[in-house]
Amino acid sequence: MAAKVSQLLQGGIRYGKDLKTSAASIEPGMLVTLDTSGSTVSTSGSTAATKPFGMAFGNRYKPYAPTTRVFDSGEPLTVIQGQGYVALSSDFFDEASLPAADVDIYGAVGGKWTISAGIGGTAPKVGHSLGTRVRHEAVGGTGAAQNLAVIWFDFSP
Amino acid sequence: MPNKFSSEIGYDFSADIFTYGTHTLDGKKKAGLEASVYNQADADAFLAAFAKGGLNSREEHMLLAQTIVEPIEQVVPYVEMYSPVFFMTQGYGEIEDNRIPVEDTVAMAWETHQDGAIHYTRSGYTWTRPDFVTFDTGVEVPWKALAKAGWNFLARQMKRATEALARKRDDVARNVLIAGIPASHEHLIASGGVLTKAAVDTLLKAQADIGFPVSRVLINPGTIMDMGDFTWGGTGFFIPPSDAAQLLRTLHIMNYGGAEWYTNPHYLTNEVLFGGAPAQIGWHQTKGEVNTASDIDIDLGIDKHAIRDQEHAWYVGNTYTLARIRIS
Repeated sequence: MAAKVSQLLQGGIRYGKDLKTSAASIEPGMLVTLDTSGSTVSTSGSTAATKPFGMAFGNRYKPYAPTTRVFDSGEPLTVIQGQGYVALSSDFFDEASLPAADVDIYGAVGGKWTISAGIGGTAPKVGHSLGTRVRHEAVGGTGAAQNLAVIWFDFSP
Repeated sequence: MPNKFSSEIGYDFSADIFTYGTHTLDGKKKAGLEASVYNQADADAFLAAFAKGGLNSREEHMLLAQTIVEPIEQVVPYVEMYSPVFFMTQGYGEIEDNRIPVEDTVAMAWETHQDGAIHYTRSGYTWTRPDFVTFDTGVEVPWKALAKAGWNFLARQMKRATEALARKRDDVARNVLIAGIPASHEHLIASGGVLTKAAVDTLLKAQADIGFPVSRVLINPGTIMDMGDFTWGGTGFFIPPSDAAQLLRTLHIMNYGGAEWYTNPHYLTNEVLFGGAPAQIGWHQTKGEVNTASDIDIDLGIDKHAIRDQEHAWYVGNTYTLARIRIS
C-alpha cells in the first residue's frame, strides 16, 4: 500500500554527491534547501532565504531493510533539480489537498508544496500544476482510486 | 537393580506419557521393541518384579502408575486454533532477521501520443519487522506426593502446562487477527444469540465481492449447529439429499459456502471468524526452539520441569481477507 505517493515521472537532474540530510524528517517528494555548509539539506520554507534547492529523492540504503521512507539524520540522499514532471499525493501539499490544473505552485514551510504565493507574493515559485491523474492503490481488495497531482517543476537557481 | 526390560521405558513428550519400546527416556523415537533380544527368563523376572512391587526405578513406578485409574478430565484439552487456521508459519534462527517486505508499488498508465515521452514510476523499498513475544511455564513435583498419589499427575500437569502455553500464544495471535479486521468487515447481528444463514450469506457475498472469498472459518462447535435451524433455500431451491442427511446427523454442513469450517470448543460462542487461505493473510514467525529442562532439588525433595517456548510473532499482511460475525 502506498497512500503517500511521490513519483518523478520524467526529467530533472539527479544530484546525489556529497549530500546528506541535516535532520530526520526528510522523505522523497519533500522540498529541500541547501544548508550553508553545502553538504547537507534541510526542509525548505516559504521565503527567499529558504527557497527550495530541489526535491528529495531516492531509495534508502544506509539502514539494512529500512522500515520507513523517511531518511535518518545524516543519511545520504539524492536531490532532484532542474525541470521535469512529478506526481504527488495530497500529503505533500500544505493544503492537504490537490491543486487545480493550471495554477502556479510554490514552496511552503516544512518542505511542503502549495498553491499559496504567500503574503505579498513572497513564496518561492517552484512549478505549475498540469492537472490530476488517477492511480489505484491496494486497499479494499479490488483497490481504490487515488488522485495524484502532476506538477511541472522548475528548481532554477 | 532395574529390570532388564526397564531399558525399554521411554517418554513421549508430544503425548506427555511414558511409553514402552517406542521412545527413549529423553523423548527420542526408537525403532520399536525388539522382543527377540529378550528371553523367557527376562519376561519372567519382569512380571515377578511387578507382582512383588519390587520395581525400584522412578520410571518403572511411573509406568506402573499409568495403569492406575486417573481422574477423568473435566476440561477439553486446549488446542491452538488461530495460528494453524489463519497463518503461514516461518521459522527463523536466533540471529536471522525476521523482516517482511511491504508492497509499496505505484503504477500509472497514460493515453498518449506516439511522440510522447514515457513517464516512469518506481516501487518503494520498505520492510516491517513484527515484534516477538515468548512464554514459559514450569512444573514442580514433590517426590513424596508423586509416590503417594497413585496416579501420574505429573503427566497430567505437564499436559495442562503445555495447554497454558497454547492459550498464551492464542491470546496474542487473536489480538493480531482481530486488530486486522477492517471496520467494514465486522458484521454485527442481533439475532437472539444464534448464527443466521442470512448473516453468513451476507458476509460470504461481501468477501466474494472484493475478490477475497472466504476459504476458512473458525467457529464454536455449538454455534455451527445453528445451521440446523437455517431456512435452507427458497422457491426452486432444494438442498441436495446428501447435504440434508449430513445436516440431520450433525446439524451442520461442513463445507458450507465453499469454506473449510474449523471448530474448537474453546472458541467464543458469540462470534465467527472468517478468512482466506493463510497465504492470503500473513505469517506466524517463530524464532529458536522450544527448550525443556528438568532438574532435581535434593534439599526440597522435588523434581522441577521447565519449558521455555520459542519466540513468536504474528503479522497480518492483508487485512481485507479477514471478516467477522458478532452475534448478540
